[in-house]
Amino acid sequence: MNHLPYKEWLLSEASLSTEQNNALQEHLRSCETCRQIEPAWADVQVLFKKIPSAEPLTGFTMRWQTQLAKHRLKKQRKLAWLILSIIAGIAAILITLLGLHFIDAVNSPGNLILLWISRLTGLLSIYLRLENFVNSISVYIPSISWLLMIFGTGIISFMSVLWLATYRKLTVVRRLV
Amino acid sequence: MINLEPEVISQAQRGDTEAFTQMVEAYQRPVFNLCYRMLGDPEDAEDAAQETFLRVYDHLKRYDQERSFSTWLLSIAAHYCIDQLRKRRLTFISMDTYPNLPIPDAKPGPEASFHLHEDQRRVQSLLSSLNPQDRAAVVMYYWYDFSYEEIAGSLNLSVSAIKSRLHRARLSLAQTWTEQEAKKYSAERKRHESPAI
Repeated sequence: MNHLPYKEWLLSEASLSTEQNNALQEHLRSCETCRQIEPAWADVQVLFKKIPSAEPLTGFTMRWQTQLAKHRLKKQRKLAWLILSIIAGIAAILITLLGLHFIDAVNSPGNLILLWISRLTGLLSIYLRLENFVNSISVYIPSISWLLMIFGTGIISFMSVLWLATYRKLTVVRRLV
Repeated sequence: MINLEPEVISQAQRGDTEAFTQMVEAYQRPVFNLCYRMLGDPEDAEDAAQETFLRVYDHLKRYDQERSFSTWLLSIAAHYCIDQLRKRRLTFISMDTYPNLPIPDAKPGPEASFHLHEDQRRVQSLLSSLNPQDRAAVVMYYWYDFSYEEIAGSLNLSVSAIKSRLHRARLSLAQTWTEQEAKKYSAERKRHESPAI
């Protein structure tokens, strides 16, 4: 026997048309299985409505606050480990590079000394060019402007530090426990 | 369903712990009830409800105020419970193993208390016959009066899938109920039968 539309109609929340209702009643007269579904579903609905909502034991919020404190600590530890791992990784890379450099130095110390001398002379030439540049523009800028620039830079730096400290104080969440 | 002031939610989103505590206080019952209906054990439900609020705490900044907060919150709880049920799906739990839920406020007589526990046990037994997603849909529909759209949004399914799941769940619940009634009837008949016969 085909129960498909009848089972659907029996459990449907939409109202049935007269034709559908007649067909359903006709089917129910001959089908024991479908006849059992309707009262069973009605009983289940009654049971669902009868039972009260489940409630947690008192002190749920307090327990949650304790959980939150543990959770934060766990997160902080996780972050610390992550930072530590990154630092360790960078240190490992640097040590490896230094090791490779050391091997080069052992193999050909002359080349390495020449390389470092050329680097130092390069840095020295950059410094000398900068000095020339500053000397040339200092002729055109009055000394009061230099003082103002230094003073302004100092103020901006101080304000930045102050802003960072205030921002940190305002955004870091207070500990609960 | 409780409707918390949007201002409290905004404050909690900005990291105000007191506002968040207020939120936990307001929503602990619906979240616990959903977890209990899904998992069938008060201790598991407590753990799931606690975990739900921790997840909400971590992801509250992602909450879109255009959506209903309770729908968003309960969808987190439902997803967590579905995951838990999938993890333990191979463990068979019989109807008798459901621990009793402590009855909160009223002080019913022993008979009323017994009937209440029996009803709770039967509901959990009926719900456990459904798969996790169907169970979540039934709980949201019959305990929280969620619309098909809200359930679909919460469970990441289409509205037609929710309608078909609910229909399948109703049928399954009715059949389980019929089977349980038949078993109950036969057990009672055996108890009253004369041992000589």
